Amino acid sequence: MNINDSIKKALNKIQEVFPKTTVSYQYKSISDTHFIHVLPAKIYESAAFIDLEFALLEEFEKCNVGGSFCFITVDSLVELDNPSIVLVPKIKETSNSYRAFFEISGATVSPQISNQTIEMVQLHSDYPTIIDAGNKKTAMAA
Amino acid sequence: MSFLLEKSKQNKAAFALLTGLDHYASAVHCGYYCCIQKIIYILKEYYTDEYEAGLAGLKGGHGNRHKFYIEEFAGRFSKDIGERRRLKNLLTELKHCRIEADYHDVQVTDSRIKKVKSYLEEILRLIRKNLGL
Repeated sequence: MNINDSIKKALNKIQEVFPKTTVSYQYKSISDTHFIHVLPAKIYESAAFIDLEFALLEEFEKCNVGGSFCFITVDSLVELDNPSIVLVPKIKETSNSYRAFFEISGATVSPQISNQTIEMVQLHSDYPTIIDAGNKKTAMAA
Repeated sequence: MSFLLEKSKQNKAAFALLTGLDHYASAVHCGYYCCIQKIIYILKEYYTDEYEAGLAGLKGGHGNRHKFYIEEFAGRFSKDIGERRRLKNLLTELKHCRIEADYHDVQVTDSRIKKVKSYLEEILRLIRKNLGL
């Protein structure tokens, strides 16, 4: 596997594990550094992402990719002015009508609702339903 | 006190002085070397065998030496994986910024020097917290 393949594989792995991330990559030759920019910062800072980062670094080492690797996020000192790879989130938060966003872990649903209106629901359940709980609307996986 | 630690202290003072004079590129240089000198001191003093074996096995140029200092130190200075990761990424970014400031036709802006200052303070805080230096 060549260097580019190793990098692409790593970036795809990030999105596989964290589908809501935007991942950008740029190699900066002046410092021989591979920069991987990860958004949102909340994921970048999570323990699960840090574990994945270390696992990827080990992979790079095994594949003899060379250079330094640096994972960065919003407000970092280094900015990517010309990324060669950008992967956008695989879970699409579509259209202007998107107002509800759900985090689902097993059977638990934690909605963040704006304007008290749900116009689009993207659930990882086969049969999601929406119920009106007074002024607040809540989604539940059936 | 070790000469290397003294140089690190002087570079920290130079960072503040040069920032005050708006000599930002030179300030970045001093800020980075303040960190690297402290790290080399700790590696030589506390991880002597690993440091010497690592240096002996190094291939490539000067850049690889700095990569070695950063990765070797960041990999050892704390038991906390989050802190190890944080320090490595902060130092790697600062290294890149230093090279850009020293050798490239790039302006070091007000906002950038503020970030460099916050990186420098955070790096030194992490070292102090874990090693008391």
